[in-house]
Amino acid sequence: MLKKITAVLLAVIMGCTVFAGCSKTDVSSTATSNSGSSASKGKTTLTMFTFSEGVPQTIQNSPILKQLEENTGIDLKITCLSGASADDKRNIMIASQDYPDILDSVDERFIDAGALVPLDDLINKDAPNIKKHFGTSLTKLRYTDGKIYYIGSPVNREQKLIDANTSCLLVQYDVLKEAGYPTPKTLDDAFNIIKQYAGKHPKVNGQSVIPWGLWADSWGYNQTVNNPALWINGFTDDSDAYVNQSTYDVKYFDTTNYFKTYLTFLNKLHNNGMLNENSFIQKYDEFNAEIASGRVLAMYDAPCLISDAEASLRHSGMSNRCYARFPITVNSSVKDRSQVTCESYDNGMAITTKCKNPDAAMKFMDYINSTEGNILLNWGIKGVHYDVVNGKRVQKADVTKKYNSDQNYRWEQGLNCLTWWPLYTGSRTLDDGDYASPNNLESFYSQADGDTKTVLDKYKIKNWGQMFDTSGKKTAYGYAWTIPIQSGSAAETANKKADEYRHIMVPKIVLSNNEQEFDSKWNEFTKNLYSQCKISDWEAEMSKQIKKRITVWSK
Amino acid sequence: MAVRLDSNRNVKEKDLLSHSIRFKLILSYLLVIIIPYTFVGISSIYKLSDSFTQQTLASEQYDLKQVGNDVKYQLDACIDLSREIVLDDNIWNYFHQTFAKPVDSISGFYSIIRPTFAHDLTLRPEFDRLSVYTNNTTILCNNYEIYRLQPQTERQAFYSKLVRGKGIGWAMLQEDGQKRLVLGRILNYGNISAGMLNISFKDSTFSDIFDEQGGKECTYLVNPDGIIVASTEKGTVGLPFQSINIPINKSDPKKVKFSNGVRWIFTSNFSLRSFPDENWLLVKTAPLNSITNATMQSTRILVLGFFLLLLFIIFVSITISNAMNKRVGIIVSGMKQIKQGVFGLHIAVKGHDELSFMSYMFNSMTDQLDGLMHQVLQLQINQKNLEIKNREMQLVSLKHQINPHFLFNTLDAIMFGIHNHMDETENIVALLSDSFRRILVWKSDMIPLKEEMVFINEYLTIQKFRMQDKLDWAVEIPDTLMDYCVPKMLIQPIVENAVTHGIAMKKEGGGVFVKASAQDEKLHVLVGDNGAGFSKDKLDGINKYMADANFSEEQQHIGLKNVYSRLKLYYGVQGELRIKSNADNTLVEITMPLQRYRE
Repeated sequence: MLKKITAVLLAVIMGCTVFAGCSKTDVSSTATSNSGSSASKGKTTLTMFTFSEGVPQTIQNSPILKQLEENTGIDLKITCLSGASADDKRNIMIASQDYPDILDSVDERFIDAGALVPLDDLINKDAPNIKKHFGTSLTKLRYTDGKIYYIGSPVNREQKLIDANTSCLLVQYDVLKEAGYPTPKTLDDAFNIIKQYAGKHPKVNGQSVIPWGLWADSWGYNQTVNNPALWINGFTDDSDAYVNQSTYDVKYFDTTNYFKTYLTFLNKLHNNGMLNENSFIQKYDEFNAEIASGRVLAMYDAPCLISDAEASLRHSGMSNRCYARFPITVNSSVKDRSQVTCESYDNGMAITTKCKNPDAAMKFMDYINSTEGNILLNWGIKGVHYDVVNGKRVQKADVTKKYNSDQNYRWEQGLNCLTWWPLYTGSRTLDDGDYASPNNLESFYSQADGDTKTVLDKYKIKNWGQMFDTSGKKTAYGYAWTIPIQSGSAAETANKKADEYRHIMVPKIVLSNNEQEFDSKWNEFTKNLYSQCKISDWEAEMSKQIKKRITVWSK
Repeated sequence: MAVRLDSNRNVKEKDLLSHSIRFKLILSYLLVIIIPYTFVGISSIYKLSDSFTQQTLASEQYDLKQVGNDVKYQLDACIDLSREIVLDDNIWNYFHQTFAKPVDSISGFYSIIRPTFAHDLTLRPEFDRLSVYTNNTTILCNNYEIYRLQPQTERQAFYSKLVRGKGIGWAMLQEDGQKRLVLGRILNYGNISAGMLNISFKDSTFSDIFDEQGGKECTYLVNPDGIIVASTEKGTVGLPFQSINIPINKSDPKKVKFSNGVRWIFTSNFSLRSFPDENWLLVKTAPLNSITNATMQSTRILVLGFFLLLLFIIFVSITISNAMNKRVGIIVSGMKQIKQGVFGLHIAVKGHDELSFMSYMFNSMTDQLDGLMHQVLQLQINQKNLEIKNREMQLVSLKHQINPHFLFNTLDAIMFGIHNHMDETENIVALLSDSFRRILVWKSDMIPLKEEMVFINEYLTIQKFRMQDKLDWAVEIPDTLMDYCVPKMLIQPIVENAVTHGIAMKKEGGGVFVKASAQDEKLHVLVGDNGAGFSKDKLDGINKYMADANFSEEQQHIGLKNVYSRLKLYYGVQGELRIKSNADNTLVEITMPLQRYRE
């Protein structure tokens, strides 16, 4: 379940990155630019179903996909989700075993259903680009049985961030201004800055301030409680798992002292009257309404989750109540790794057992992964969507404008929208040394409002991404949340129970009035996680699966 | 009077009759088929479209009733849900108990409130929100499931109203920036209130129900207090129904007149299960044309069908009348040609009906007519010929009588007689004058035999006077035959011939006899003389000459030839003239049909 939540979040974050500014970049290109419809004779037909939500059926006739068909000699027939939910459609498809040639955006549930063919031999035979680009990462595509079934968007090349991809410290500009634009590095730094401001300004717009925002209901718990506890201790996104990096033994993260440290911080906020106790049952919309009112001075949350609230603040002339992003840790000896990308792939494009011509399908996927295919899908058609200026690809100004203002434009054109396909995205570089997509780091600054510019200037940066170091150490197993846990298993049940229990107990711990109460509640919590929730079942399974993954990947 | 009527009718009939059959046929189609059909068609279309309208109106009314049922179902379901929640001890307990710290309520929130409310909302997606407004300050509130009752607010007022009243009621309250229909119910257990449950409807719940009618209608749901709680017209929600001013038309209560046109109006009432005394009202107005359009659609199809049928009928009528008319035309033009004298004409009329039979009869009649005409023509020619011959006879006789020889002989004899036989001469002169008069005054062509015999006698008497002893004659005619008719001057020329060519040519003179007999319905007249006969050659010549119509008339036998011709003209083959002759005997036999003379 957490995996699902995180997957949803990841999708949202990917969306955020895609939607963020984009435009000029550079480098030479040899992308073909003829948009001829041309002869379909001799073309191989491949059918595809995509489980990505929100893909309109019109993508089939977009000029870029037509060009893709032209270049690959494939007559591609895409079917998108409509009507039924992805879950319903998946269940129906698996029950009827009625698969198209290619399934897009699928995960291990289709592997378990026996719907997918192993791709290893096909990659060796037909996919020189995938082989070359994934390189040693190819093993990270392996399922627990050691075979590759689907290929996702490769993340084995670094990219520059425009904004934080996951939760980080968010502080209102006005709070920073008041404090003289300090750079908070630890929890204490953050605490002091906020406490100082809240003491001076108990009300904003006539309403009492909420010094520290929390949204701890449902999956908000992960965003504002669990994940911040991971980041401040310098961990990557292992979600519920604390993984011993040498033995790969797993403990339930919320039972560790790392987690307790963060709860101590929250308890301190509470005891200083800086928490809204109702936050623990607050829903996303109501939390965002609070943010949009300008009352929340700071929080630890994912920027893309508050983008609507920030837009609303700017809209109502309160851009000084928008938030700066900072990486903070428990103390200065711990290095933030919140934005470090650990490689693991939990979904991708796959070839089904019903495919009559797996070689053609593999070659098609390989073309998508080729530099030419990558450029076509992200940059579009040369002369139509982008030009080459001084050897660098530059998106045409009107294309940028339409892309940013009209949500439908990207789908109508097929431009830079199929970001989960097996191609490089964002500001990663392609073999030709130029960016994989027109997402523009510089445009963020130029499009920012005055208050944001002031703050960026104070910190001598052009975008929030520059606040973060993405070069930290990666785990050997990717993200622990991508480890599949069999649904209905004891491990999954234990995890579910623990999740319910922590939603009840963590607020009680945080809202303790004194240290004794805090400790006794904490002990009760950790004890009951084992005695009542049987979280050790889950710990054992996760350990086993992570170790298995490492074995499988390292072969 | 009757006569006048008759004559009037005659005039009318004449008018009617004076038109062509084509006109009459089309007129009859028009009168008998098209006009009644048009009348029936138009009146039935009118009736049908009227019944369409009635049907559409009825179905609109039914739709509204259906909407009423759907709305009632939702409202009842809302009350049912509120009852379920209010009767839940756990929920009441949760809101009623005092917690040491608000966060202590979180167990109950995550184990009771959140799952119960979430479950209820999943099962009933038509509700937007399930929330409890409470005075309990010892529990957490998230402004979603749990609110705190704040003084001086709408909800507080609603709560107070419910506490004072029945503990349950509806209100239009502000939610998410708009007025929404909210059911309020006091969380009551043993008369201890733990707060107020509010259930609000999604905006789409009622609009979806309203939209199912088609979308052109304005629908208002009015609660028992007369407030519009849901409507297709944004902005009217929350207003008293009276305030939107629907002008009721007293003459036709089904229609109301708005500034933007007349609309149909429908109303429907219902009451909720739990509040049977309170009437909810549904009012719907629909543009006139939304209903008329549906009717018009059907009517248009009817009219189209009707006109197609009409066209078909006209086409068929014209085709049939044309087919008939064309054939009648053939017959008519045939008749016209016949009128112009083109006999023996054959016309071809297709088919096997009366007209083709008519044409067949026409053909056979023209054949007959042609034959008859030939006969009549022949008869006319004969008649003319006869007249000519008669005139000729007149002339011949006159010529003979006035022939100088005859005249001088007669005059000599008269002169001689004047000296010797005064009396006789006087008689002869009288006869002569009679004779001339008779020739000059040709009254009738046919005369009784006795009259002819008078002429013959006169003639012979005159000749006898001239020739004296050289001439004798005898007449043997039964009195019974005297009244049978003969053509005038038919026998006399034969007698004259016998005298002039027979007796006069013989020195010693001779005798003439005239006999008549009836045999086989024929009259036989024999004229014989014993004067100079015809030589054989001469007799053949005469016979040949008489039989040949074209033979120019010979001076010498002009009389005989004329007799023969007239005999043939009068009687055809039934009239015969035979001449027998030897050296001193000539016998002329005339045969003709026995016909009694009539004046």
